[in-house]
Amino acid sequence: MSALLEIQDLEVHFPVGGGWFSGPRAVVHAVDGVDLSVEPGEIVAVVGESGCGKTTLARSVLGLNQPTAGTIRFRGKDVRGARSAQEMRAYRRAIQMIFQDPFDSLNPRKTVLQTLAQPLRIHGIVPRSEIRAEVVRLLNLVGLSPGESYLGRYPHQFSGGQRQRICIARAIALRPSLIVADEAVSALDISIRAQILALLQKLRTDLGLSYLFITHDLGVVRSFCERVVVMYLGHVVEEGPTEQIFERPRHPYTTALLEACPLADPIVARRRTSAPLTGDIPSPVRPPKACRFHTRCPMAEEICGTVAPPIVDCGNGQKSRCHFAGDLDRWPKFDFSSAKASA
Amino acid sequence: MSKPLLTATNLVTKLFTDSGTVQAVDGVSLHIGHGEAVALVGESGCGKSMTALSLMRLVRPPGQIVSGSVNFDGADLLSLSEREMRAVRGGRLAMVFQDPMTFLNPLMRVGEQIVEAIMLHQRVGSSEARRTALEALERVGIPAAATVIEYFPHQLSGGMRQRVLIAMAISSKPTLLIADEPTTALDVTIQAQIMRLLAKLRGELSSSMLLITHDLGLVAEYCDRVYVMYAGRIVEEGDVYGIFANPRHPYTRALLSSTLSPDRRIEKLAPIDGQPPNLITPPPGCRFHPRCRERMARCSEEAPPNFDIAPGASARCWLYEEAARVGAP
Amino acid sequence: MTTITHIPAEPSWWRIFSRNRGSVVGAVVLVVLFALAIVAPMLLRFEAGRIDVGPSMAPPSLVHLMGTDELGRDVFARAAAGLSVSLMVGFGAATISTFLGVVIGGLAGFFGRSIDALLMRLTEIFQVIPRFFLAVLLVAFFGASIFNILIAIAVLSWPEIARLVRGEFLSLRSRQFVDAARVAGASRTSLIFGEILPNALGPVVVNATLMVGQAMLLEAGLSYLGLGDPTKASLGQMLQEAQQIMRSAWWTTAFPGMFIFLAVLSLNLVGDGLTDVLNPRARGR
Repeated sequence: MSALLEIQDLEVHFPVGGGWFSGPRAVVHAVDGVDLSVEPGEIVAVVGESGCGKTTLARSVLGLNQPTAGTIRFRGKDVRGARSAQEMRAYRRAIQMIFQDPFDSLNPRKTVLQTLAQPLRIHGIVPRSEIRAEVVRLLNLVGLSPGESYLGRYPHQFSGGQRQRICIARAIALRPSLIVADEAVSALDISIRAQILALLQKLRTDLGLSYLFITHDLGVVRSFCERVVVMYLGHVVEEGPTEQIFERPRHPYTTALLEACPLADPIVARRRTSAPLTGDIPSPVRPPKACRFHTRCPMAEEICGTVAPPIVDCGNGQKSRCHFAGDLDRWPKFDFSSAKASA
Repeated sequence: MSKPLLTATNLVTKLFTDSGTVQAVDGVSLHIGHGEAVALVGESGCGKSMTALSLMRLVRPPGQIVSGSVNFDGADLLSLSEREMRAVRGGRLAMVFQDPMTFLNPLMRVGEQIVEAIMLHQRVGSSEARRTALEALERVGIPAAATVIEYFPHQLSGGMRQRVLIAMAISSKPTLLIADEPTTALDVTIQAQIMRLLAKLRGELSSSMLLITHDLGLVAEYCDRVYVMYAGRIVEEGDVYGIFANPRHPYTRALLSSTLSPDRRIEKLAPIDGQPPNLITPPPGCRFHPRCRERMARCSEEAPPNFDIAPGASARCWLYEEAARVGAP
Repeated sequence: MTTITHIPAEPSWWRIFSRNRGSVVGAVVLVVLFALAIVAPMLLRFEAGRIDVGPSMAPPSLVHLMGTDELGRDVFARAAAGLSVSLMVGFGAATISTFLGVVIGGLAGFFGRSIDALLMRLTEIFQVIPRFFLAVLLVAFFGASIFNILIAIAVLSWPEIARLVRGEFLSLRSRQFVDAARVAGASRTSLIFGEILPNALGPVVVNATLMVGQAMLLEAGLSYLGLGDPTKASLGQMLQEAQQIMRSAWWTTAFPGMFIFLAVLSLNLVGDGLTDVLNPRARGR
């Protein structure tokens, strides 16, 4: 089976600072050698904290920023090689995006009809005379019904949840096969978040979509995503099937994340005894050498600061970038109620 | 039972805006005991932050506290003069906010700001205040506090800034700390650090905490008692174990079933429809009735009073009319 | 299914504008001035430029509302005509400079990098030259016709708008809705004209309003120095001519001066009100 999206050795570096006469002062290593793939129909989560490069990764997939190195293949074709306008258009159509901030992702001066008609018109999805009807159909599909009553309204007349529905309608207008969702539900309230996730779930079955789901919320990951990719400072530190990662993580950062995230159950939450990670997340301008996590890692040893860890295959699609991933004794079955960094 | 540290009774705060009067806090009564950690939980716009600001008397125009009383440690806060209130605020009653940057002066070194706050509330000289500030910074786990004291706010990370704000808040050894979404802007691992820190400090100072949050996970882990707020009103009250194990109000149930916790997988989400109402024209009767799965005919006509269901547990829902001995409305 | 629970009513732009009383006064004064400039020459008994329509230096009376000048010209008629010249120069120069500023600032802000650096250096060059001095030079060199004055003012005023537009473009181009349009496959042209420009226009319109006032002042200044168009009397020119008799016949300077003052002040007040209308954040409050 060939992957829908396949990313290899992706590197995205940004120069920062500097002026006309001096070179850039520093380089942000936003994404540094990332491999990732999404199979047709799959929901893949990319999790990590700020500065881990997850948003940069998402934007690179959409062509919103230029990778420094590496390849992005879509249905086996190299996207960056495909410079013919036609191929680029086809690619654009097939991958769409839902943005984080529903208050920033709709043009405040455009009506719902204008916003949703734009992609339809550009790609000629339906004949011009049918655009209006198609927009109404899309609105009904995302739960804004009757669609007709929304057409002439402006974004500021909607709530956050409704706006996110409009953004979803825009994303599915081109009938894509992959949707990249960058923290698409993070800004929403709990009850609205559940509504939007349920809608995304429904659309996935109805339209046969795949999602690349960028998030920091492990609760959402567990209930919504089939596979997880954990990122830290531009590196993928662990990946694998969701249940497997949550039950037996093989990277200390994954463990730390699982331990730190709030649990909606007072009994389980209060049985946790582990201490949280210490220290701040280092700057991606000067990431630590060798293993990037070693400065905060509770199980770090000398080797971690000198030798970059290899990618260890842990079976069943689980991979970890830790020197000790192969040492099974260090990785007891993870239990939320007694979460403890293995010593 | 001893007298609570803080008791708010029938607090009403309205926002008088151009588009109408927002009934942001509509008859909120709550109490916080000595040494207790209480959560005020709800979604955005439910009035939880406005409640906190009302307790601190920090409501700014177009907002205004219309009626009610707030008794803190024997004093009625709403009848104090602004000067007396300033002495309470930042003294025995301190607050930590979501965005530390809005409460730190970007042009002043963090040390000076803490020292200034200390000198404002405690009658001490500057060298004494400086010592207290250093102590407070060390207490909130800032490494090399003597260096950090010379930094400007922008030189600190988000987590560090929040620590500075907490240091400011605890430097006066408050008996009640109101924390309004203190970790919402932070990453998960930093959030864990800050929440553990708050819990630790609360123990050391044996102070009480009111945690304003939308995150049920934080409530579950760090609070003893919970008030659930919806559309300007408190709809349920209970101890944390009861609320999570046996939520009574249909809104609390909906919130819990919508919350995705990493310790369990939910195959099929069953969210409630609709969205919180606009508080300029809130729905009549029970404000949750348009979204409620268990609504009855009277819910849209009569607002339910607060029914006491068990000691310390009450819900504002007609479902409990019979089960309850009717408590104070 | 989700239903529309509450759609906030959009306050009309006039409602927002009228919250600011000063702006309403400004707008009314501006309308009156425009009416005066257009209608007065048709209705008044005296032709604007004609001499000896009355006694020399007659004080304001019912016949000559604003008195007459040295040559016995009706000050009211002249001032009304001068006002129309001044307003034309003001609006004309502001329009042209706004256009230049939007194009240059927009290009710099949208493309960034070396295009930005180049255009911004150019802008700075224009900004550091003393504006009035260059205007004097330009007019002295190309001749003092209304058209030349208008162009000179326009050429000198665009940098302000350009910097403003560049800033707006820089911040708007990284907004999520612009990215969303990119993802939808929108062309560069449609990104600029469909997404970014409409959202950048608010402050530009406000600034253009203020610029009309500035241009009028600049024109008055040039005319006062004797660099105005001799064939078309403007308010500034009237002031210059009346310099000598200012002490004995105050009305010859007071009324033209008042027109300039009122026009510039009302334009500023209107600009203030427009800020409220065009700033979406100020709405709904």
